[in-house]
Amino acid sequence: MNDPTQIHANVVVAGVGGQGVVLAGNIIADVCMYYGLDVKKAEVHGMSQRGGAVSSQVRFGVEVHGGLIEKGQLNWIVGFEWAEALRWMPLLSPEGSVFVSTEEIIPPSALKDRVSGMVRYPLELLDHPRVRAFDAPALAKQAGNVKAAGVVLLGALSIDLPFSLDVWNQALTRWVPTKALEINLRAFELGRRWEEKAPVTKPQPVPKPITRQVWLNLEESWCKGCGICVNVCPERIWTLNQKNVVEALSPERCTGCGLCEKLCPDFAIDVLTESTIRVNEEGGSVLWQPN
Amino acid sequence: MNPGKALLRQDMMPHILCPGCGHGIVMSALVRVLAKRYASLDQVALVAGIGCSSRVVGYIDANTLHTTHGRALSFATGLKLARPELTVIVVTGDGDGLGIGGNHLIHAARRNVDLTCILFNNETYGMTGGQLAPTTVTQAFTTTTPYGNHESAFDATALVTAAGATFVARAQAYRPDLLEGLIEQALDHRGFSFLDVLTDCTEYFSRKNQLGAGSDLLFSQTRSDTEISLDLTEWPRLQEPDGFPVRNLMPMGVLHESNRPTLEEVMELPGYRPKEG
Repeated sequence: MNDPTQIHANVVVAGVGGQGVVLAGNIIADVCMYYGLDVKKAEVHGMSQRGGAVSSQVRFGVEVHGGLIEKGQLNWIVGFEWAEALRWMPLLSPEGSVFVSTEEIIPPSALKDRVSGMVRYPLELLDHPRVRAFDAPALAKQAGNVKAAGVVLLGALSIDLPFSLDVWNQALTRWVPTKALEINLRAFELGRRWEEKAPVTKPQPVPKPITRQVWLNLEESWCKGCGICVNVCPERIWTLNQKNVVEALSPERCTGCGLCEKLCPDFAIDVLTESTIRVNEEGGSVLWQPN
Repeated sequence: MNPGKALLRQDMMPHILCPGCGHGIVMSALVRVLAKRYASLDQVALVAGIGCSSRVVGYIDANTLHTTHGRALSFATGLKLARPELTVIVVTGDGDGLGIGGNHLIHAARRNVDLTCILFNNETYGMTGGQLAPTTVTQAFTTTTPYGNHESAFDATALVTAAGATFVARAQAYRPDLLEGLIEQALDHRGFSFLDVLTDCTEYFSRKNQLGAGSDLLFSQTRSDTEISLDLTEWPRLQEPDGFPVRNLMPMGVLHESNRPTLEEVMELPGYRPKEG
């Protein structure tokens, strides 16, 4: 595997829309082509608008016939985002290894339970011996821009690959916007030395449940039944009752956005969140606390 | 919770404004800002004239002055010169401030008194029965224009800018956060600061023009597709979708900001020494 012109390998770059996954795939392909290798690339993209998954499969070798990687044939996973990298674990070959950023980008679909804020973020495989996880955005920040996190990971990958540093730098120069080139070259260098520079910062093994408590207070006698709150509430928790006074149908769904309070012309609704209330130590009554 | 709720005169509540009236939303934003900025309202004076908008000051437990129709700015100017340490906020409506009090408005702007003037612009005289106001858009129906308004509307912000106001902005009841931010900026500004706030009259203007009530009326402000812009050349561009003119493409945000000596500084009142250099 040490001759760059005879290597045959498969790499997947996985991440979330906007992280530069496709660009990273292009850079790897560019480096391979410098050595005269046959490169095939298959991408899943277009879901970037809503925080969707983006992946780039890069296959290279003396002769490559298809763009898709078979199960057990994947040599390297470059995960720009932890959970996205996890999706590719079933394809990883027994000798394969994973470079992954510990950055978590929680997809909107995982946030269905917006009241409690509970998110089940999969961290099961973080202790897998083939997984090399580190805080790439922190290193990128050190290089000058957090956006260069992807290049940090490419730097880490480049240690495993037999390609020379000059070729990598040439490829970066070709693909990265000129104004950001210096930062990216620095980020690449930091990525190559990630082991010494970045202590592995593992996320908490058990995600901390965010218990957000929202109290709704309704001054019924002030409500004039205009119905503004009924229609502005994103969770549709308010309704007008037979007395033409507003009533909370499902207060447990309240996320505390405060839209109804701000748009209530009659000061009838109070949305109390932890930042705006203080519970009296003795009586437990709810008091208002400025700021 | 709206921290400003503690600043209301609780025995006066609920207020007399109609269900869904935008004035209540503006009042809510105003007291929120007041509560955020001032630990006590002893040094804050609210001056109002006559009209629905001017009723608002009656519900706020500050130093409040309910004056004659259109003359709120004159009273406020006198108050400010006599007690320059006070923060004086004038709450006025479009009929009050631009109709009968239009002359006082331009002269307050010309003098550049260190006041904050919040003009509740609902395009009509709500309290007296929905008559034509100087801000009513062309073709709109009011009780005094049953065949549609033939006149053009005033652009209050352009007027006070020309008259010499040093801070001019426009906000909307529909966007309470923008409104709060602009009220804060207006209060920060030293000199005559003017804030044109688009609100809605649910009883008269909306009924005559079939704009709906409550949330429908509030959402109709989004129909105006307003832009947050600093470019004055954008204005005015009234359009007529569905045959009815709306307050289309009115620029929102800070429209004009300049710096010149305030009347207090020229008169060298306590706390208003002219800036050096």
